[in-house]
This record gives sequence, C-alpha cells and structure tokens, in this order.
Amino acid sequence: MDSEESIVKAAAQGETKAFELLVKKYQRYVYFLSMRMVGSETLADDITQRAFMKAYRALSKFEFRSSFKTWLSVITLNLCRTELAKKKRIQVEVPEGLSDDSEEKQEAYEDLAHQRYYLKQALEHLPARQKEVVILRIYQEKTFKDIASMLESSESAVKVNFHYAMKSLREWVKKRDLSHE
Amino acid sequence: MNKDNLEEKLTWVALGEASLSSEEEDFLKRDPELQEIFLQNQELLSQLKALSLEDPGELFFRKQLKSIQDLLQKEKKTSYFSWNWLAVAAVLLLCIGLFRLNPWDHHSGASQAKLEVQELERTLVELSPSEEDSLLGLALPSGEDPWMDLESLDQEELKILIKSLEKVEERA
Repeated sequence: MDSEESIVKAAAQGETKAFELLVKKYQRYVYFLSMRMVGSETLADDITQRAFMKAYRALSKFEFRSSFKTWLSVITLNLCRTELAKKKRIQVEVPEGLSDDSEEKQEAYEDLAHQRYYLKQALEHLPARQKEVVILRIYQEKTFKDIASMLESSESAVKVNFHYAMKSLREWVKKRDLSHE
Repeated sequence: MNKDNLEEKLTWVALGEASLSSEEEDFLKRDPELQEIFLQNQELLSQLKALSLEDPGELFFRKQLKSIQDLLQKEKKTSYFSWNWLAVAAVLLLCIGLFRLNPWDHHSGASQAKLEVQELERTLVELSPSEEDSLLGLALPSGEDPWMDLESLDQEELKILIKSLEKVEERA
C-alpha cells in the first residue's frame, strides 16, 4: 500500500497523529495556493487552517479517486472562492489600473517592485476561474488535464480560461506601458 | 489560416506546450501584431513566474501547525463529548423500553393496558357501526376518532369501555 494512502486511511479512522503528518506535508502548499488566490497573509493563514479542518471532517468520505493533494487543493480553492466572493461584495470600485495614481506612484513605475505590484494587481482582478487556472498552471505546475479534473471542467474549457487570462493580463500590461509613456 | 487560432496557439507555444509549423512561422513573420502578442506572452509568463511570494518563515508555519493541532484536539473532544451523550441517551432509551415491555411483569400498568386495548379492538370489530359508536361515545369526548385515541385511553376510561362492552354483549 502506498505510504500516503495508509496515512490518509489512518487519519480517516480518527488518528490525529496521522492527520498531523498530512498537515506538515501540505501546509506550505495550501498556504501558498491560498496566498496566490486571496493575496492576504492573514486570510491565507485562516483559509489554510480551515481547509485542513474541513479535510479532517470529510476524510471518511474521501474515496482515493484523486490524490489527497488534489482533493485538498479543491477544498482550498472552494474556500478561496468564497472569500473572493465576499471581498468582491465589499469592494465597490475595481481599480482601472494605475494611470490615475499619485505622482509618486507614477514615478515608481520604473521600479521593478512596482512592475510586480502592477502584475499582482492585474492577477488579482482576473475573473476567479481564470485566476485559478493561471495559478494552478504557473505556480502549482499542474497540467491542464489535472486542472480540469480539479475544477470539474473540461480540458478545453480550462485552456480557454487560461488563454483569456493571458489576453486580459496583456491588456493590463499594455495599459501600464501606455500610462508610463 | 485562422489568425485567432494562431493567437491562441501562441499562448501554448509560450508555455512550451506546442510548437509552430513552418507554415505558421511564415504567417507569424508576416504579421507584426501576432509577433507582438508572441513576445508579450513570453514576457508576461516570465514576469508571472518571477512573482515570488514572500516566505513567512518557519516560525509562522510552526505557529500555524500548533493552531491546527489545537483545533483538531478541540474537534476530537467535541465529538467524544457528543458520542458520550449519545451513548447515555441510548442506554436511557433502552432502559425505558425494557421497563415498558417487561415480559415478566404481566400486571404492570403498561402491559395490562396494551392487552386490554387489543381485546377491545377485537371485540369492536364484531359490532355494528351504530353499536360501536354508542359504545365508544361513553368514554370518548365527542368528535374524536376512537381508533386514533384507543391507545391513549387511561385505565379508568378503558374500564368504562370494557364494562359497557360486556353489557352490549349480554344484551346481544
């Protein structure tokens, strides 16, 4: 039997020590995935804790149809989605870019840190599904096939989302360059 | 060749998941807009990959692990507590059930009442509807369905019913 499978089975039977092994193994992965999705350290920390607790409670229903990591990613993404929806409700105004920012910020565009800040902002404002696909493909290095199964979608739909995300990001970068000129 | 299709393919080329055919390469060379998209895709992907997240450090993750461990402990205690209460409730229900259905105590109120109800039911079946109504009317408040309430009659009401029934039988 695969060692991870036996750990998961032990954890499903209520062995907290076994579950703690899983937490130790995937804690960073879940945290960074949440962090990429929600962009806040505090919220990512909270989501990580909730994701593991949710997994612990639902472990007896886990049927090994995917890897534990994939299953945990789906739980994490669902929690992130809920948080992003809450955030969207609170956020009345979506920034159009940095073109109307202060002079200080305009000057700071040349700074690489600001380029990154801008790209992070762009990533932040992608539609949730596009953002998920970009994060899973680029940062979590998942294949489109894996992403499709995680998001319960088709591979072609996932690819279309990725393509449109790239298109939107290109537009943002273009806007940044124009405002910089 | 479809320009939109080629534009989409350029995304996969930038990701390293596809390559252009010589025909597509020629098309790309003749189209400056597509060339720009191709270069932008590559730049964008490298910028995205370079977007590193700050590692909050070992201490942060140790603290997080401790919080999760505490939550697990709490969860376990809560479920243990509720299982305990469930077990106590189950034992209590079992005791109540055994007390009510005690087969050695034929004179207990509950079993006596059960037997009387059964006997009464058997007899009532043999009566005509009008006899049955007048009989049950002695003990039951008007308007109530006698069959629905037979089980809920108390000892006194049952005695009245049985006596009335005996009278009806004698008359017959």
